Amino acid sequence: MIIQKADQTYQIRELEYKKNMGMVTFNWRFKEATDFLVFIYDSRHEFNLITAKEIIEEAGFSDHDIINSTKKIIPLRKNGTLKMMHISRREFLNNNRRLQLPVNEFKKNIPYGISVYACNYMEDKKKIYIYQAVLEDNTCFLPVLINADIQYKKMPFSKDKLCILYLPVIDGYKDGAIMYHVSGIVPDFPLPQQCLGRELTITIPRQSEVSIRIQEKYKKYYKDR
Amino acid sequence: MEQKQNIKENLCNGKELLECCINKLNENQQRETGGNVALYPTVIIMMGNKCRDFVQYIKNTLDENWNNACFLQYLCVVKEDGQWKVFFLKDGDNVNTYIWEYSSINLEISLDDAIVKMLETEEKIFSSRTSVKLEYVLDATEDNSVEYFKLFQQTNNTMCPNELKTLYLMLDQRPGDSHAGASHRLLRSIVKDSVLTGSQTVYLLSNYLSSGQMLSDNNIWQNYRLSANLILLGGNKKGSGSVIQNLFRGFKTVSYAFVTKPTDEIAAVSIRALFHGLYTSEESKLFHEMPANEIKEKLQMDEYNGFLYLEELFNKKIKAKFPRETDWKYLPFSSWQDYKKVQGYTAITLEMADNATFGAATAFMQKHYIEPVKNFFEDNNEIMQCKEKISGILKKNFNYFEILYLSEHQESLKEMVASLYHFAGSPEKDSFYKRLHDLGVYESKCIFYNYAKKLIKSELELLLESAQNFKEIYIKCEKEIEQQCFITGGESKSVEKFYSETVREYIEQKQHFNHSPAFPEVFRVSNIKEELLQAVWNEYLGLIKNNIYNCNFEQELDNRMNKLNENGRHKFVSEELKKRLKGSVRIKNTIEIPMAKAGCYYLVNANAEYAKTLEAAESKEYVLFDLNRTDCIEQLEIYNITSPGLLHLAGTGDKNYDNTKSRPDLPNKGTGI
Repeated sequence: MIIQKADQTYQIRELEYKKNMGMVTFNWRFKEATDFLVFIYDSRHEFNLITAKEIIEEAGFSDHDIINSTKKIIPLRKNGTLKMMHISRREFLNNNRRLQLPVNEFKKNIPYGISVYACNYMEDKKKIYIYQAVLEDNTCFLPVLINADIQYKKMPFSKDKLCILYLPVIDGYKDGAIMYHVSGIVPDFPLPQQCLGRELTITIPRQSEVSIRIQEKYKKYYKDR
Repeated sequence: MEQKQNIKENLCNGKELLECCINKLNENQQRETGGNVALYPTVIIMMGNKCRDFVQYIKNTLDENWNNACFLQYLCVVKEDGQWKVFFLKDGDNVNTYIWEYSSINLEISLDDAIVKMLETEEKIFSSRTSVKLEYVLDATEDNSVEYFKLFQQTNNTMCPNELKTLYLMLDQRPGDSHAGASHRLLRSIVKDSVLTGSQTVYLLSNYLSSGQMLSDNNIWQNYRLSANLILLGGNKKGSGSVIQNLFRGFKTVSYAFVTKPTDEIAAVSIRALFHGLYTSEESKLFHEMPANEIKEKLQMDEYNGFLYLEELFNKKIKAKFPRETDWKYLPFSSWQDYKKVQGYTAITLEMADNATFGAATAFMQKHYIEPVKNFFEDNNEIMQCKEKISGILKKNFNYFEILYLSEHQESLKEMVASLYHFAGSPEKDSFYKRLHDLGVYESKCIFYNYAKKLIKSELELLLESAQNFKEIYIKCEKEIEQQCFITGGESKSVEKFYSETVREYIEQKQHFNHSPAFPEVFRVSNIKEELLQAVWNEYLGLIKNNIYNCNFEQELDNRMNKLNENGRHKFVSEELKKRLKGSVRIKNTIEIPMAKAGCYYLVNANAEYAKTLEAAESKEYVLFDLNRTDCIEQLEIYNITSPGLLHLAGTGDKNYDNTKSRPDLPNKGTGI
């Protein structure tokens, strides 16, 4: 596999995804490509095409192998934090310019990044030429959906009420990434790791509500349902 | 005392400041022109390049004394590439600019044009228009001087048949072929070949006086001023015919003496004394030991080792973004009971709060109390503004001398600034959320002060450095002025004493009326050299508003010389003039030649006591000319050279300067003579 400098012709644009009926559907636009390589990784770890290539070569995959492993997801790391998939241009176009993957390919509590690269496969040389991306248009993120359980308990003869907030434990959680907001109160309350996986009792004004918010810089990892 | 700022163009060093001070004081000596006017249209013709640059000494004297001097015409004729070129003096925007513009290749044509311009003026400008005065000036060492002389003799105007032509011939008797040699050759040529007509006069004005004194490059202007005096005397409307006749026809020379108010020296002494006095006086008043509490007060430090202006900044830019203290109530607890328990804590710490909230208390503090202060110091604009604010306050609260004191106690100062910010603590009865809020504010402030005190420290270092630089600049400027001042002679001592005292009084008076410091513009630590000089210049302008600086010659003498009475003053002036007149004949001949004294003239302001005394004497031995300047008294004696053929200039030695190659020349100092 040979990594080529970014070329305007071999660029992936407007990579998007939709979740529906147990499938995650990706679509993108391109100008030229014989094939596409799709990388799926834990977005909490930085993805680098050069590093990915080295891992592929270490794992012993030849370009020919990759080309022939159409629509098969190849794990590149044992812990599942990096996977790769090949799809040919023909297949992509035949599938209405879509790539569909089952939802269970994506573990629940891991935020994923998906990067698609346009390639040019030279049959005679049996070499894949993969082109660097110019902008981040070839990448999208699948954040972890946060299922917060929010319940309220009235307190008789009190102007306050209790909010019982429960958030599941999340592996690799970054302290303060998830916050809760009390309506009518200005600041958000960031939650450290210790707050996950237990019931939290928050005394709030009777007319207030509690909602979950994600800190801006963690929005690609987590999403409020 | 308020001073009107007079911005000079970039004073660069002490020498320039001194020159400005001298010029300004000289300017102030001039009064509006009195009643003298030129009787006839007069053209001044500078011959050659060498004397052209001295036209200012002639023009200034004529402008000062004749009301209609602005109508006089100035020409310059030079020989270039074998032909004559004539230039006329253009009116400049600045009285000190002299721009010569090309006129023609024929002196007569230019002369006629010049005369016509004067004849076209209103009748009252020149009372007599049937005669015209042509005043030629020639440096005898000019190349082709003989041709210039012939030009003087042969050029006639076509407008007025009655023309009075006078040549002021500047002789240079310094040894050397291009000096004494050239002067000698021209002179011999003139006296041997030429016969002056009735309307032609030649004044011989040498730099070598009969006493043996030689005028240096710095003094040669006196001969040009002398020629202007002769023009005034010979062309003035007020003047009897017979007296004026003595000034014309034939070969003449002059002895010349003047006593003058030592304006240049007064200016030099004053600015030097001012520069020195400002520093020593202010230093004695303002440099003092500063106890710690005084320094703290000036730094605006409070009891917690905070700074007032930083507190204001913190409150405005950071604390304003903090949550309300009651917001702490909405932290997550394990149960409502735990929440109530925490409310009962009287001295809650962050650790206790974290234990009860699974670490949410620290997370909340981090986000809403710590992050804002860190973000603030990542903003370069904010840092710049903070620095500027700190710098401004330090400069405002510490004067230059106090900063010098601090320079000597830098370590203690830095220690004081760096001392830890204290927590004021919370009263016992405060709620848990207030305590936590106060704790958040304190934590935030500690970080804030950690950054900000570094800024204060660095601004202090810059300030201390500026003060040292300023001190060096001040000393340098003072030295530059001192180097230009030369004090010699008895008169100089009295000038030094009197004006130093005047300056001292000025400084004291200002210190008395102004709050400390009395001279903030001078002792501004951020002043660069030019700004310092400008500030001292402004003080100088304030100083010379004192009437002492605007006295005429006699009043000044009176003030300075222990209040001589009128007789004493008259005697002093007479003796001085006599002393200077003797031996000041403007030519030194190898042999004594017969010279007949043709007249004696005093040029003195009519309001001067000396003038009144001379007038009251009603002597026929001298003539008075009402000089417009009040700062000097001049005396001239005109001598007719009855046997010009006997003229052999001294300084030629035994050399035969009739031929050109004789001995090596002295280095030419480039004055034109």
